Amino acid sequence: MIFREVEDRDLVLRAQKGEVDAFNVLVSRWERRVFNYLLRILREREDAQDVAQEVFLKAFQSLRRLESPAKFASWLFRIAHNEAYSLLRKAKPESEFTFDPAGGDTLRRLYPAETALAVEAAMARLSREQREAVVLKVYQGFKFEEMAEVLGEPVSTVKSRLYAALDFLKDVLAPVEEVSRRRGLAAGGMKHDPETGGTV
Amino acid sequence: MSCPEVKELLFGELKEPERSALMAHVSGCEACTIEYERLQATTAALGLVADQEPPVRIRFVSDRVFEQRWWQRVLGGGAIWANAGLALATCLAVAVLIWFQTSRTATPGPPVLSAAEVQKIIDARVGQAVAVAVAENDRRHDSEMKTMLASYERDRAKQQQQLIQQIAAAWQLDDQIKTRALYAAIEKQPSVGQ
Repeated sequence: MIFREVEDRDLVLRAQKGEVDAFNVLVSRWERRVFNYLLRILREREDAQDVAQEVFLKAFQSLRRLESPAKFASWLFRIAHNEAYSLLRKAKPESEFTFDPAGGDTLRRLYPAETALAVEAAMARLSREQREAVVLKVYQGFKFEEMAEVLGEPVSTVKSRLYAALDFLKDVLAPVEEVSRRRGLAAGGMKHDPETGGTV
Repeated sequence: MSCPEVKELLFGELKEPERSALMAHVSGCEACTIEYERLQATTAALGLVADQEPPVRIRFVSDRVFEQRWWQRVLGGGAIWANAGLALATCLAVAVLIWFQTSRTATPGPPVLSAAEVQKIIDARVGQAVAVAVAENDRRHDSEMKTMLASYERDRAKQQQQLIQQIAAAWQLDDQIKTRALYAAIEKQPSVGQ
């Protein structure tokens, strides 16, 4: 991760000096992540593709204004965030977030492919802000500070959105009775060790 | 009731000694351990939805889509006023030249061109026409290719989605049958202590 960061910074510096090939490498390196981020926010492949193209065009045009090349990733996703929300504002507003704990029953006996469908359905029930927080943290692996830069919000707000989303998702995807049942099936009296992921 | 801090353990951003202290607490607290396991199961489930490949690669800077227009090149680079001054000076020079040419009393006759010069002009015009035709052909080709690829990708995504739904429906039916049989078998067994 550190090496990757150094390489990106070097490429940004070279691209800022006018080396087109350096920017092309940045495009090929980041296009998949930006596309998937947009796909999970916009939920339409064609929209995600069009906006991703726009994101890299804007990034190229304003690259000289990026003062800290080490922050290229959060800067690029900030552009992607703005472009995505610009499109969403033009579209029909989303329905309000509703909480439905009964949905938790659906995941108990699902195979991976079904779980993936259930995850997509659960994600669709989050508010836009909560969904974006999950995408940036779980799927894109940004740190809280970086998420705050992408979203233009304080870290406390970012955490609040993410944790609210996780509370909802865990009720749907990992209902408490299911976890308790599995613990009951495990060897009696054994306790889970969060550090090792095993039992002690 | 679990502690709200349990979520802080999930993403590895908690610093020592807070992390160790919280870890020790979670290990010894039933409610927090269940909460932590549920959160881990949740993030694991989220991880089952894999990234997708972009349908078409992003166009590179060297592609035409990134080419700047003439006014962007003139205004770009941060030297707007220097460039504007240069443009103004050029306009003035051209205006003076036109005024000088039109104010001449003697009108020069038509220029006499050699055969080589005529050929050069013809070559230049032919080259220009060919370049325009090639550019138009490239543009049409790009457009057709993009439309074809988009149509192909749409069809493929639709087929994949239908297939996944069919598989999911089949699995769910099969799983329900198996689960019912399992529950029926469990209910028939005598419980501990009976």
